[in-house]
Amino acid sequence: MKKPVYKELVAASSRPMVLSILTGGESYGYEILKQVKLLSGGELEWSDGMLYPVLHRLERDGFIAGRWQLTDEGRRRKYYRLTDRGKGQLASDRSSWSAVHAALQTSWGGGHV
Amino acid sequence: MFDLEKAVLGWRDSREREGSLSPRELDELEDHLRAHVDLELELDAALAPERAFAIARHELGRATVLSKEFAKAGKPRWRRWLFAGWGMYAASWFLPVYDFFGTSYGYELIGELTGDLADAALFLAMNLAMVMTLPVLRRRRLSRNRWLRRWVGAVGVGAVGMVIAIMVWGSIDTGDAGWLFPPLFLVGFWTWSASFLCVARALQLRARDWRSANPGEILAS
Repeated sequence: MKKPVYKELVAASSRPMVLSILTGGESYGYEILKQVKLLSGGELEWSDGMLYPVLHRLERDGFIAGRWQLTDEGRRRKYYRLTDRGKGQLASDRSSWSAVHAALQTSWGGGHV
Repeated sequence: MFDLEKAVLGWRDSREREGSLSPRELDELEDHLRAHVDLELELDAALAPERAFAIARHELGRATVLSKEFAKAGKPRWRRWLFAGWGMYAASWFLPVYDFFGTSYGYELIGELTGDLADAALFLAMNLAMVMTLPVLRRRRLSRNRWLRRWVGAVGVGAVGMVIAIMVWGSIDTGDAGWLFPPLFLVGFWTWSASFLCVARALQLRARDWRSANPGEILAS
């Protein structure tokens, strides 16, 4: 059985993960969580309770913006969308993660200097 | 027979009684819980609603764990206003309050003020408002009290308004004693007044956090 991705890495990737998902359009907590599981093939173990603090932190930092809306069933639901600042942060995160990924790939491929 | 609606409301009531999560946070978690139950029932039509609810509740986690996770999201904006206000209030007691004919005075003149019972009562009432905001950090529900927010805000606005009025009119009619030219208000006074405005703003933000979300209001904005 494959070992799950360790929690520090899961935490570090939470920001680019949420921002990336929101590039697809507005979404809400549970839907975002489902997307994370789908995109990672279930390898990233996000607990249900962990997601909301991440969303709130991103909202406080201005990377995403939330708005409340009533669902068809009459429930209050908070939808999040990516802000311009969030787009900028995502570009920066993407560049950093790509650099880490490229370095590791080179190293594992025997191409290290 | 199991009533899903009752079970969800019961879960929410328990979290509310514990008081560690705000209604706004609970709104979001309740929606999550319901969405999870719906999905479980959709994925397995044979699953009993009771079991679906138990799975969703378990995966959402215990309230203590959740509140710790929420605390990791960082300090909310209202805390910065509150600490700034308290800091300014404390500093104002050590700063010169006004200048009268070339001499600076601080709050050591309180002793003189207390000679007049009405002045002393007013001064105490104003400062008592600030002291009463101290438990806000621990007792989150206290910040819902509108009267405290208005009291603190009124002191700040009133103090600044009074000084502006004095500056505009240039002198104070003291009745029998004649006209008194106003003192020059110094940094201590402005710091003291601003501290009340900061704390009032903190209480306002705190109260907003503690309110349940109002979709109509938010959509309209």
